[in-house]
Amino acid sequence: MSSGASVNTLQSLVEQLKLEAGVKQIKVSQAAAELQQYCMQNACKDALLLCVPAGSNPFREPRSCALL
Amino acid sequence: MRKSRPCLGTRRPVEAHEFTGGEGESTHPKVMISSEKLKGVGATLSDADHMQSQGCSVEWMPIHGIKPTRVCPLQRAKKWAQEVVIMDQERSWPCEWAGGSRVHQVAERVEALGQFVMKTRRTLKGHGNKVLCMDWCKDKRRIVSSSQDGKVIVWDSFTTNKFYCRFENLPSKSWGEEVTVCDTAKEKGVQVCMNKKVHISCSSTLTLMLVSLHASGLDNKCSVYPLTFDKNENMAAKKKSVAMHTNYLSACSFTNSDMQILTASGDGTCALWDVESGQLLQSFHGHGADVLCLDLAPSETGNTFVSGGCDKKAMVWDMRSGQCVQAFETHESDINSVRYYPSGDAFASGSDDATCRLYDLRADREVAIYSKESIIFGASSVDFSLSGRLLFAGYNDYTINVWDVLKGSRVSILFGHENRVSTLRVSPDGTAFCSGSWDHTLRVSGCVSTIQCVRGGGRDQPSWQQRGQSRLRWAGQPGSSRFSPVGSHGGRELPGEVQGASATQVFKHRLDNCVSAWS
Repeated sequence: MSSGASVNTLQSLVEQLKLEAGVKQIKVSQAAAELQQYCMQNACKDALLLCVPAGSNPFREPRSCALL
Repeated sequence: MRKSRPCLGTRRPVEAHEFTGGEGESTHPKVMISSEKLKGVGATLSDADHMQSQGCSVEWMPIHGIKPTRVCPLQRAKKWAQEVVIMDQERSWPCEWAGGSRVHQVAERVEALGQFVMKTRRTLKGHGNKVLCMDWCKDKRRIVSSSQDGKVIVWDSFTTNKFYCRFENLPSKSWGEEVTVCDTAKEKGVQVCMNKKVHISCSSTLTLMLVSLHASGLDNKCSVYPLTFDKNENMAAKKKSVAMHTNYLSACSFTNSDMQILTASGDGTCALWDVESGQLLQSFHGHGADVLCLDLAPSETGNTFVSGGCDKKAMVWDMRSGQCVQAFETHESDINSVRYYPSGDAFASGSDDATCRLYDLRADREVAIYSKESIIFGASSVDFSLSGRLLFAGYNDYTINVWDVLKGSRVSILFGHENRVSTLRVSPDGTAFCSGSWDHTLRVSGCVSTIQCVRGGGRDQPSWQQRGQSRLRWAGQPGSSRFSPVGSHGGRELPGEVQGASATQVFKHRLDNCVSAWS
């Protein structure tokens, strides 16, 4: 079928695909390495990662302590 | 006809030429010149001219196999679309690792987190029906939540005090009766029979945004209410009706400047509105079905957002131009929730196909899948911890799973909700996360220390301590704060200053050169 509407749809689809195909890609290894680096850099600020209780000083003496 | 070569390096779309020709040549079709003297394929016009000038008769004939010059534009467009799709597939072919590139492979050397224990610290009870939506206020302490019973409650997450929100004289009948803001110690909130979902987004000035969610005429509006705790103030008087769609509104968010609102709707579009004037600034078309969720890029100057919909696609949009910049279609079912990675370079999505996936924007593809065979229920909401190392996902099987983003493994599972988890957000300062559920409650949870405090060591004495699963080793020097904690992988000693975190341990140096460590 060669109706105008479907040609237009396809053309806009093609334009969109061309636009997306034109996006510059970097390698996954590099992208993943940067994600990893971000994680590592911010790990010390992440209270949930460090299991620090909310609203308390992380360097406070904890309640249960084993002396060796 | 020029063949399309797989070209991983270049991205220019291949144009379908019906005829070949060198640069600058005329676009006449290549022809066979039938003449007594010269027979051959690939002759050009100049040849033909030459022949003619020589007195040969030149007959233009189409080369066998070449289609006629007039190609139906529809055919041409289809061909182009096919070629671009092929190119895109070639692009996605694993070019670095056999079997595809994934974050886990790159992160192999990263120390594993070990098992976490998550614990609910506060249970917020007060809603009379399913909790549908919540958000943290920017003061990192208050939570605003809405439920199907029509109440919007502002909670103080530290003290669990609650305030109800007051709306009076709401124009649309569907909002029901008034709700009163009150201090719970003094008065009781008036119930509202509201059978519409209210979506919450908190701006930095504590403005509340409410959206009513069912497709019936006036209800598809988004209104902005200033949130105030003054009992005498009638919030509805300051209400601004901002956005309107032709179908239900599924998600909304303030932009960075708080002067604009982004909405996603069941009509398949997203829209950007100005709060002051209520004007539509930009609309975003491209989803093939209902848009269910959206998230704004975290950077201050960011002007992109990502949306996920029932068409299984996650699309990244440029807010200024309205263009879809990137689209990702690897999920197998509706995408319920999308959330940007804290750095803004990636985003995660949770879907009804029981997986969460991580998409990297610069690599332009999916880079990780978080799934387990035992998880068969869809993920309704996802959020990252502050550093992006942890991904919290609430599921329809009443649990919250915590994933290690880099390793792809699950580090914790939180039980407690008695019905499906509908919404989950990490607090702005990253110290806790709050989950709302169909069991009428919200739970504020955090991580719990699993290993008790270890204290020991001495001057210049390296010592090994074993506690639980983790081994710590440190060497102290008199008068200095230099010591080297080593993680549980038993690797070599790392020289240097106090290491605040090896992702599982927090260290404290004391004046007597003892080291306390706990995790």
